[in-house]
Amino acid sequence: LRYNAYVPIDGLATQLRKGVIEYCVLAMLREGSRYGGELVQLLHGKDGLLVSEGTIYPLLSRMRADGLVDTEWRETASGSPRRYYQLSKAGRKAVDDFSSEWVRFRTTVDGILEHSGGRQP
Amino acid sequence: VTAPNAEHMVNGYLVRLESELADVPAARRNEILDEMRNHIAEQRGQLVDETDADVLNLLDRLGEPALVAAAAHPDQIEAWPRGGRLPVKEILAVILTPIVWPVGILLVWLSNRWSKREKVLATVVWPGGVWTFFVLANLIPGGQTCYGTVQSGRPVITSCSPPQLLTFGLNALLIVVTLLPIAVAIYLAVRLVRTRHSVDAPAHNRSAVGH
Repeated sequence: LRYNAYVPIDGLATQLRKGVIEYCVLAMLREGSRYGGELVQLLHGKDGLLVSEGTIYPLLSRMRADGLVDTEWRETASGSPRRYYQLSKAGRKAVDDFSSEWVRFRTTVDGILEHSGGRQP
Repeated sequence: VTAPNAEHMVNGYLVRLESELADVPAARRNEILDEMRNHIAEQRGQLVDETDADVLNLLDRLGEPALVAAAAHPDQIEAWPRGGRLPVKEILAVILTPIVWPVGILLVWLSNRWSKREKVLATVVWPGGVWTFFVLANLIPGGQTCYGTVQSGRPVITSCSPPQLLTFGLNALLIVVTLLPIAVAIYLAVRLVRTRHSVDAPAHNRSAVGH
Protein backbone atom coordinates (compact mmCIF):
# COMPACT_ATOMS: atom_id res chain seq x y z
CA LEU A 1 0.00 0.00 0.00
CA ARG A 2 2.88 2.30 0.72
CA TYR A 3 4.10 1.77 -2.85
CA ASN A 4 0.87 3.23 -4.18
CA ALA A 5 2.04 6.61 -2.99
CA TYR A 6 4.66 6.47 -5.74
CA VAL A 7 2.83 4.52 -8.45
CA PRO A 8 -0.86 5.47 -8.39
CA ILE A 9 -2.97 2.49 -9.39
CA ASP A 10 -4.65 4.39 -12.24
CA GLY A 11 -1.25 5.41 -13.61
CA LEU A 12 -0.04 1.83 -13.27
CA ALA A 13 -3.07 0.52 -15.18
CA THR A 14 -2.47 3.12 -17.90
CA GLN A 15 1.12 2.08 -18.33
CA LEU A 16 0.30 -1.62 -18.34
CA ARG A 17 -2.46 -1.10 -20.89
CA LYS A 18 -0.27 0.98 -23.18
CA GLY A 19 2.42 -1.67 -22.99
CA VAL A 20 0.20 -4.52 -24.14
CA ILE A 21 -2.66 -3.13 -26.23
CA GLU A 22 -0.66 -3.19 -29.45
CA TYR A 23 0.19 -6.88 -28.98
CA CYS A 24 -3.39 -7.73 -28.04
CA VAL A 25 -4.57 -6.23 -31.33
CA LEU A 26 -1.87 -8.12 -33.20
CA ALA A 27 -2.98 -11.31 -31.44
CA MET A 28 -6.58 -10.69 -32.52
CA LEU A 29 -5.38 -10.54 -36.11
CA ARG A 30 -3.74 -13.95 -35.87
CA GLU A 31 -6.96 -15.66 -36.91
CA GLY A 32 -7.41 -13.49 -39.96
CA SER A 33 -7.95 -9.97 -41.17
CA ARG A 34 -10.40 -7.68 -39.39
CA TYR A 35 -11.64 -4.13 -39.78
CA GLY A 36 -11.44 -1.44 -37.11
CA GLY A 37 -15.04 -1.67 -35.93
CA GLU A 38 -14.68 -5.42 -35.52
CA LEU A 39 -11.59 -4.98 -33.35
CA VAL A 40 -13.47 -2.41 -31.26
CA GLN A 41 -16.25 -4.93 -30.65
CA LEU A 42 -13.75 -7.63 -29.68
CA LEU A 43 -11.93 -5.31 -27.30
CA HIS A 44 -15.14 -3.93 -25.86
CA GLY A 45 -15.63 -6.86 -23.54
CA LYS A 46 -12.01 -6.87 -22.37
CA ASP A 47 -12.06 -4.81 -19.23
CA GLY A 48 -9.82 -1.79 -19.30
CA LEU A 49 -7.89 -2.62 -22.46
CA LEU A 50 -9.30 0.11 -24.68
CA VAL A 51 -9.55 3.57 -23.11
CA SER A 52 -12.07 4.65 -25.72
CA GLU A 53 -13.22 3.23 -29.05
CA GLY A 54 -11.58 6.00 -31.05
CA THR A 55 -8.06 5.18 -29.84
CA ILE A 56 -8.02 2.02 -31.95
CA TYR A 57 -7.55 3.99 -35.18
CA PRO A 58 -4.41 5.94 -34.25
CA LEU A 59 -3.06 2.67 -32.89
CA LEU A 60 -3.79 0.79 -36.13
CA SER A 61 -2.36 3.64 -38.16
CA ARG A 62 0.83 3.57 -36.10
CA MET A 63 1.09 -0.21 -36.45
CA ARG A 64 0.67 0.13 -40.20
CA ALA A 65 3.39 2.79 -40.33
CA ASP A 66 5.64 0.48 -38.31
CA GLY A 67 5.04 -2.35 -40.77
CA LEU A 68 3.30 -4.59 -38.25
CA VAL A 69 0.05 -4.79 -40.21
CA ASP A 70 -0.92 -4.61 -43.86
CA THR A 71 -4.25 -3.26 -45.06
CA GLU A 72 -6.59 -3.72 -47.95
CA TRP A 73 -9.97 -2.24 -48.87
CA ARG A 74 -12.89 -4.60 -49.27
CA GLU A 75 -16.38 -3.98 -50.55
CA THR A 76 -19.20 -4.55 -48.10
CA ALA A 77 -22.87 -5.34 -48.45
CA SER A 78 -23.75 -1.97 -46.94
CA GLY A 79 -22.04 -0.20 -49.82
CA SER A 80 -19.08 1.66 -48.36
CA PRO A 81 -15.76 -0.21 -48.50
CA ARG A 82 -13.91 -1.05 -45.32
CA ARG A 83 -10.20 -1.07 -44.61
CA TYR A 84 -9.18 -4.51 -43.35
CA TYR A 85 -6.05 -5.07 -41.28
CA GLN A 86 -3.96 -8.20 -41.39
CA LEU A 87 -0.72 -9.31 -39.78
CA SER A 88 2.44 -8.65 -41.75
CA LYS A 89 5.44 -10.95 -41.41
CA ALA A 90 7.00 -8.50 -38.94
CA GLY A 91 3.73 -8.26 -37.02
CA ARG A 92 3.47 -12.03 -36.70
CA LYS A 93 7.03 -12.23 -35.40
CA ALA A 94 6.36 -9.36 -32.97
CA VAL A 95 3.30 -11.03 -31.46
CA ASP A 96 5.05 -14.41 -31.31
CA ASP A 97 8.01 -12.87 -29.50
CA PHE A 98 5.67 -11.01 -27.17
CA SER A 99 3.69 -14.17 -26.37
CA SER A 100 6.72 -16.08 -25.18
CA GLU A 101 8.12 -13.06 -23.34
CA TRP A 102 4.75 -12.42 -21.70
CA VAL A 103 4.51 -15.98 -20.36
CA ARG A 104 7.97 -15.70 -18.87
CA PHE A 105 7.23 -12.27 -17.38
CA ARG A 106 3.83 -13.27 -15.99
CA THR A 107 5.24 -16.46 -14.46
CA THR A 108 7.99 -14.48 -12.73
CA VAL A 109 5.60 -11.85 -11.33
CA ASP A 110 3.02 -14.45 -10.29
CA GLY A 111 5.77 -16.39 -8.52
CA ILE A 112 6.88 -13.32 -6.57
CA LEU A 113 3.31 -12.33 -5.65
CA GLU A 114 2.40 -15.85 -4.57
CA HIS A 115 5.67 -16.33 -2.72
CA SER A 116 5.01 -13.19 -0.70
CA GLY A 117 1.82 -14.89 0.49
CA GLY A 118 -0.28 -11.81 -0.11
CA ARG A 119 0.86 -10.36 3.20
CA GLN A 120 -0.62 -7.02 4.04
CA PRO A 121 1.80 -4.39 5.33
CA VAL B 1 -35.82 14.64 -38.24
CA THR B 2 -35.06 13.31 -34.75
CA ALA B 3 -31.35 14.27 -34.68
CA PRO B 4 -31.28 17.85 -35.98
CA ASN B 5 -27.80 18.53 -34.58
CA ALA B 6 -26.15 15.25 -35.53
CA GLU B 7 -24.17 16.52 -38.52
CA HIS B 8 -23.03 19.59 -36.62
CA MET B 9 -21.88 17.49 -33.67
CA VAL B 10 -20.03 14.95 -35.81
CA ASN B 11 -18.33 17.63 -37.88
CA GLY B 12 -17.35 19.51 -34.73
CA TYR B 13 -15.83 16.36 -33.29
CA LEU B 14 -13.84 15.63 -36.45
CA VAL B 15 -12.59 19.22 -36.68
CA ARG B 16 -11.35 19.04 -33.09
CA LEU B 17 -9.71 15.69 -33.76
CA GLU B 18 -7.98 17.06 -36.85
CA SER B 19 -6.69 19.95 -34.80
CA GLU B 20 -5.36 17.62 -32.11
CA LEU B 21 -3.63 15.54 -34.78
CA ALA B 22 -1.87 18.60 -36.22
CA ASP B 23 1.61 17.28 -35.46
CA VAL B 24 0.95 13.86 -36.99
CA PRO B 25 2.20 13.45 -40.59
CA ALA B 26 -0.53 14.36 -43.09
CA ALA B 27 -0.87 10.86 -44.57
CA ARG B 28 -1.40 9.27 -41.16
CA ARG B 29 -3.67 12.09 -40.02
CA ASN B 30 -5.92 11.63 -43.05
CA GLU B 31 -5.92 7.88 -42.56
CA ILE B 32 -7.07 8.24 -38.95
CA LEU B 33 -9.73 10.79 -39.85
CA ASP B 34 -11.04 8.62 -42.70
CA GLU B 35 -11.29 5.62 -40.42
CA MET B 36 -13.06 7.65 -37.73
CA ARG B 37 -15.44 9.08 -40.30
CA ASN B 38 -16.25 5.60 -41.61
CA HIS B 39 -16.67 4.25 -38.09
CA ILE B 40 -19.11 7.02 -37.18
CA ALA B 41 -21.07 6.57 -40.43
CA GLU B 42 -21.28 2.83 -39.90
CA GLN B 43 -22.41 3.16 -36.29
CA ARG B 44 -24.98 5.79 -37.22
CA GLY B 45 -26.25 3.52 -39.99
CA GLN B 46 -27.14 0.91 -37.39
CA LEU B 47 -29.29 3.32 -35.37
CA VAL B 48 -33.03 3.16 -35.72
CA ASP B 49 -34.65 6.58 -35.35
CA GLU B 50 -31.37 8.30 -34.61
CA THR B 51 -31.52 11.02 -31.97
CA ASP B 52 -29.03 13.67 -30.89
CA ALA B 53 -28.51 11.69 -27.70
CA ASP B 54 -27.56 8.60 -29.75
CA VAL B 55 -24.93 10.61 -31.60
CA LEU B 56 -23.60 12.11 -28.37
CA ASN B 57 -23.31 8.62 -26.90
CA LEU B 58 -21.49 7.44 -30.01
CA LEU B 59 -19.00 10.34 -29.78
CA ASP B 60 -18.60 9.72 -26.05
CA ARG B 61 -17.62 6.14 -26.75
CA LEU B 62 -15.09 7.29 -29.35
CA GLY B 63 -13.41 9.44 -26.71
CA GLU B 64 -12.20 12.98 -26.24
CA PRO B 65 -10.26 14.06 -29.38
CA ALA B 66 -7.16 14.92 -27.33
CA LEU B 67 -7.15 11.43 -25.84
CA VAL B 68 -7.63 9.79 -29.25
CA ALA B 69 -4.83 11.90 -30.73
CA ALA B 70 -2.51 10.97 -27.85
CA ALA B 71 -2.73 7.34 -28.99
CA ALA B 72 -1.01 8.37 -32.23
CA HIS B 73 2.20 9.14 -30.33
CA PRO B 74 4.04 5.97 -29.33
CA ASP B 75 6.58 7.84 -27.23
CA GLN B 76 4.01 9.20 -24.84
CA ILE B 77 3.95 5.98 -22.89
CA GLU B 78 4.38 7.34 -19.42
CA ALA B 79 1.29 8.94 -17.98
CA TRP B 80 1.67 12.34 -16.38
CA PRO B 81 2.23 11.90 -12.64
CA ARG B 82 -0.87 12.61 -10.64
CA GLY B 83 -1.31 14.08 -7.21
CA GLY B 84 0.26 17.42 -8.10
CA ARG B 85 3.84 16.22 -8.28
CA LEU B 86 6.04 18.58 -10.22
CA PRO B 87 8.01 17.13 -13.15
CA VAL B 88 11.30 18.42 -11.70
CA LYS B 89 13.51 16.65 -14.23
CA GLU B 90 11.60 18.14 -17.15
CA ILE B 91 11.54 21.64 -15.70
CA LEU B 92 15.31 21.44 -15.14
CA ALA B 93 15.73 20.18 -18.70
CA VAL B 94 13.83 23.16 -20.10
CA ILE B 95 15.82 25.65 -18.01
CA LEU B 96 19.25 24.08 -18.50
CA THR B 97 19.06 23.29 -22.22
CA PRO B 98 19.84 26.87 -23.30
CA ILE B 99 22.26 27.59 -20.44
CA VAL B 100 24.12 24.36 -19.70
CA TRP B 101 23.34 22.52 -22.90
CA PRO B 102 24.99 19.11 -22.27
CA VAL B 103 23.16 18.67 -18.94
CA GLY B 104 19.86 20.03 -20.23
CA ILE B 105 19.81 17.92 -23.37
CA LEU B 106 20.80 14.82 -21.38
CA LEU B 107 17.77 15.37 -19.13
CA VAL B 108 15.58 15.82 -22.21
CA TRP B 109 16.70 12.43 -23.56
CA LEU B 110 16.26 10.78 -20.15
CA SER B 111 12.65 11.94 -19.96
CA ASN B 112 9.62 10.15 -21.38
CA ARG B 113 7.59 13.34 -21.70
CA TRP B 114 8.88 14.28 -25.13
CA SER B 115 8.63 12.26 -28.31
CA LYS B 116 11.74 11.15 -30.16
CA ARG B 117 11.05 13.72 -32.88
CA GLU B 118 10.88 16.53 -30.30
CA LYS B 119 14.11 15.34 -28.66
CA VAL B 120 15.96 15.21 -31.97
CA LEU B 121 14.66 18.64 -32.90
CA ALA B 122 15.74 20.13 -29.55
CA THR B 123 19.18 18.56 -30.00
CA VAL B 124 19.95 19.61 -33.56
CA VAL B 125 18.44 23.11 -33.74
CA TRP B 126 21.36 24.70 -31.91
CA PRO B 127 23.74 22.28 -30.19
CA GLY B 128 25.63 23.95 -27.38
CA GLY B 129 23.17 26.57 -26.16
CA VAL B 130 23.98 30.25 -25.75
CA TRP B 131 27.64 29.61 -24.87
CA THR B 132 28.41 28.66 -28.44
CA PHE B 133 28.49 32.37 -29.16
CA PHE B 134 31.73 32.80 -27.23
CA VAL B 135 33.28 29.83 -28.99
CA LEU B 136 32.31 31.22 -32.36
CA ALA B 137 33.47 34.70 -31.43
CA ASN B 138 36.96 33.36 -30.79
CA LEU B 139 37.02 31.31 -33.94
CA ILE B 140 36.05 34.14 -36.26
CA PRO B 141 39.02 36.39 -37.00
CA GLY B 142 38.43 40.03 -36.24
CA GLY B 143 40.03 43.09 -37.80
CA GLN B 144 42.60 45.08 -35.82
CA THR B 145 44.57 48.21 -36.76
CA CYS B 146 48.03 48.71 -35.28
CA TYR B 147 50.50 51.61 -35.39
CA GLY B 148 54.20 51.55 -34.92
CA THR B 149 57.60 52.58 -36.12
CA VAL B 150 60.62 50.93 -37.62
CA GLN B 151 63.64 50.85 -35.35
CA SER B 152 66.90 49.34 -36.45
CA GLY B 153 65.16 47.86 -39.46
CA ARG B 154 62.59 46.04 -37.31
CA PRO B 155 58.94 47.03 -36.91
CA VAL B 156 57.92 48.00 -33.40
CA ILE B 157 54.18 48.20 -32.64
CA THR B 158 53.29 51.11 -30.41
CA SER B 159 49.51 50.89 -30.24
CA CYS B 160 46.59 48.82 -31.54
CA SER B 161 42.89 49.53 -31.84
CA PRO B 162 40.56 47.18 -29.91
CA PRO B 163 39.74 43.94 -31.76
CA GLN B 164 36.76 44.57 -34.01
CA LEU B 165 35.09 41.24 -33.40
CA LEU B 166 31.59 42.57 -33.15
CA THR B 167 31.13 43.24 -36.81
CA PHE B 168 27.71 43.35 -38.37
CA GLY B 169 27.75 39.63 -39.18
CA LEU B 170 28.79 38.74 -35.67
CA ASN B 171 26.05 40.91 -34.21
CA ALA B 172 23.50 39.07 -36.30
CA LEU B 173 25.02 35.80 -35.15
CA LEU B 174 24.78 36.96 -31.54
CA ILE B 175 21.05 37.52 -31.94
CA VAL B 176 20.49 34.15 -33.62
CA VAL B 177 22.65 32.26 -31.14
CA THR B 178 20.86 33.88 -28.22
CA LEU B 179 17.35 33.42 -29.58
CA LEU B 180 17.62 29.87 -30.93
CA PRO B 181 18.38 28.15 -27.59
CA ILE B 182 15.60 30.17 -25.94
CA ALA B 183 13.22 29.16 -28.75
CA VAL B 184 14.18 25.52 -28.17
CA ALA B 185 13.43 25.88 -24.44
CA ILE B 186 10.04 27.45 -25.20
CA TYR B 187 9.27 24.66 -27.68
CA LEU B 188 10.13 21.99 -25.09
CA ALA B 189 7.98 23.73 -22.47
CA VAL B 190 5.01 24.00 -24.83
CA ARG B 191 5.27 20.36 -25.86
CA LEU B 192 5.57 19.35 -22.21
CA VAL B 193 2.34 21.11 -21.27
CA ARG B 194 0.56 19.85 -24.38
CA THR B 195 1.55 16.25 -23.58
CA ARG B 196 0.12 16.59 -20.08
CA HIS B 197 -3.18 17.83 -21.42
CA SER B 198 -3.32 15.06 -24.04
CA VAL B 199 -2.70 12.26 -21.56
CA ASP B 200 -4.92 13.53 -18.78
CA ALA B 201 -7.70 14.94 -20.92
CA PRO B 202 -11.11 14.05 -19.48
CA ALA B 203 -13.88 12.78 -21.71
CA HIS B 204 -16.33 15.65 -22.06
CA ASN B 205 -17.68 15.12 -25.52
CA ARG B 206 -20.91 16.89 -24.82
CA SER B 207 -19.23 20.22 -24.42
CA ALA B 208 -16.64 19.31 -27.01
CA VAL B 209 -18.97 18.71 -29.92
CA GLY B 210 -21.43 21.42 -29.12
CA HIS B 211 -19.47 24.15 -30.82
